[in-house]
Amino acid sequence: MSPRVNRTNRTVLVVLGALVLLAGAAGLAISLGAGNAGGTTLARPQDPVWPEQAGRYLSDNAWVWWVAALVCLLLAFVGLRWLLAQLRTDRLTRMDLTGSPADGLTTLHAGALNDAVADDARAIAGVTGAAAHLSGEPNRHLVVSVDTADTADLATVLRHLSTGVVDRARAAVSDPALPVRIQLRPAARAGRILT
Amino acid sequence: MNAATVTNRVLAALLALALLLGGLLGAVEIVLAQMGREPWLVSHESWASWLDEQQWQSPTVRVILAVMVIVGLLLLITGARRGRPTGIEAPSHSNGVSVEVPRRAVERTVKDAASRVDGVDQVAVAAGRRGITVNATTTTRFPDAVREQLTRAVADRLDALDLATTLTPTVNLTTARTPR
Repeated sequence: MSPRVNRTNRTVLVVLGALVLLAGAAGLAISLGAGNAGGTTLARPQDPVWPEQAGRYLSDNAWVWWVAALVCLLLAFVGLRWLLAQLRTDRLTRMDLTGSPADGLTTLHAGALNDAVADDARAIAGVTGAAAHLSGEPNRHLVVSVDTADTADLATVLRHLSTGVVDRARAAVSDPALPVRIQLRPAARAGRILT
Repeated sequence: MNAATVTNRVLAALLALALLLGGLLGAVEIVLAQMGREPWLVSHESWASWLDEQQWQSPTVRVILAVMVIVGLLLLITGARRGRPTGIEAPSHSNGVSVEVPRRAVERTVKDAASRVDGVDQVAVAAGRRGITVNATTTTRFPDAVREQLTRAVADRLDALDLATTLTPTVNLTTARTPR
């Protein structure tokens, strides 16, 4: 899942929530007779929700309705973009390794790199399972998830991953500075401590 | 992904769908009304006449406004909630390499360590951003000894994980009745 979409969702929910809350609270204040703030009367509880002047204005100015229709279409477009964004993931399927365009294009399928890195990680003593994927957010980086055995020394596993596996992955993509995120998943152990 | 992120994503998808359908419906109804055609789904005339009759003090209007306040508050709280972390950072000694232990893995391994203490029956573990809570039950007649072992086992397992963030453990041990 894309972290950027998650941030956008949170922001939109907070802004939308604040707007709906403020509108509802302001309306309730008027409804309960608290719309007389600072000597200025916004509206009284017995006033119509839809003032007569507003209706007259809309009757005299038909163009407002066309603008409203455009705004509705704009909102629908925003809704469509937001909906499609929910399907977006941060995983990359290919990586451009082209050095110079004059030499042609070089593309690495992420699946090949993922499998190679996972196999390499599984070869470490104490590692029971591994998976890898290329992520595009916030910047391009490699994520390596490793399951360790109950007897594994996490520091040793981490040292082998950080040096051997990561170095070879970086060499494979000709990027010695490729950021790498390692997820260590220690396994459950068997046996009991006697009191 | 934590539960808060999933909730936000489901809510966002529903709101986006409502925005898309509502926007399209609004545009179509406005265009039909401007062209003098019959409404498609929403009769704007009956809707407008109902709105004309409503005053701010009308019970229906108050209910709608109260619902808006509640919905707005819920959206605000849901969006502002960060939820529990998906992973907890561990120290890295290599450039450009960051290490984390997924929260569920931390909970699982601490739960396992706690379960291995003799006398402990059931264990539930919940890790947060700064602390980890271990709720355990025992049927032993010597709960103090079990609590001491349990606290030590949890601390040892957290030390073994060598996390960058110090998770303060809270151990709650409940003595359950022994079935006769």
